[in-house]
Amino acid sequence: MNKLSILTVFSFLFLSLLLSGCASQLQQNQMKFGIQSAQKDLWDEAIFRWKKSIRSVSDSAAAHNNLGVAYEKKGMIEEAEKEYKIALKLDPDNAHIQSNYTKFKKYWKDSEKTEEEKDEKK
Amino acid sequence: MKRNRIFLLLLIFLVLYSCKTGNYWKIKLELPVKTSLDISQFKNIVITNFFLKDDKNEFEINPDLLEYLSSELSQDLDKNISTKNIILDSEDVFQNKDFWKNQAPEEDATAFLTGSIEYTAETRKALIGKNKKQFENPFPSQNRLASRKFYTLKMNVYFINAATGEVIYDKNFKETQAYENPNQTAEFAFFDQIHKVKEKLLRQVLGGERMQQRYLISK
Repeated sequence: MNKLSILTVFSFLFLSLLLSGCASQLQQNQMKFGIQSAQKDLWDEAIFRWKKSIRSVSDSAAAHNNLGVAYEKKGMIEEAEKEYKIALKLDPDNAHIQSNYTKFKKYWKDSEKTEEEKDEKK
Repeated sequence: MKRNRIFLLLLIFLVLYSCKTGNYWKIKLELPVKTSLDISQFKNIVITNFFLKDDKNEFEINPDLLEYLSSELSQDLDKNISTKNIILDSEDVFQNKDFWKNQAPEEDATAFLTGSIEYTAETRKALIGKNKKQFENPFPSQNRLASRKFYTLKMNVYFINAATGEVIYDKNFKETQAYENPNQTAEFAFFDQIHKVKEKLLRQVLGGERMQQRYLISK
């Protein structure tokens, strides 16, 4: 009886791990497909994939970060900032997200500065 | 029983391996540059002479400037570019809406490109020491007096909507350039600097793209 219950518990554990692994695998496929699309400069496809990935795993910091990059590429600054902020909230210690957000802020704030201000710095 | 344990350990290892920390890819992006002016609303650009803050220049700035800007902008902008000589008494005129409305041509969707200019030249002298040589030099090195010619171009550029007389773009540019050649003429230096101003102006008006690097992450 004891052996049977242990076996049942392990089987249950195994199945649940397998199922969660499958769901995670599907989300991973979407993520990777999105990255491959972005590398081929197909940003709309990449956005579609990463949004799909968020629909299945809403707390994916990576997907939000990648969406931030994609929106930046498309010049959608407000959306990009929103996605970077969500990504940082979900994974505040991630050095890559931190780097992206820092560069994002610097780039878009700099482009707002007047040429005169830049000249004065020289 | 032992076999089962090994099997379970293997399974746990596989599940943990699938949860390993994420990969990342560096990606280079050409990001758009924010434009300061929506020029698409205009079909015609009329370049007027600029207000000269200091009229003691070695050459006539306005004819050269108008010729340069009209030929360059007609290549870079898909607009009808023309020039117009307008008497500008002071810098306050740029904010005078009625003045610009009166100057408006018959064509719709026209913008004036105008502004003010201050162009100065100065010669700076300094003692410049020779570079230290690797080996001992039997002859003592001497400092020499060197002079450089500095030209500074300050330009306030305005785009004015001809229909409303309103200033829709207002930016200050400053370019300083030094020349070793003591015979450098102000006119040639001016063209070097106005070219830089034109590049900056077009970048602000037309936008363009700049290379940036970001990370894409998979987990």
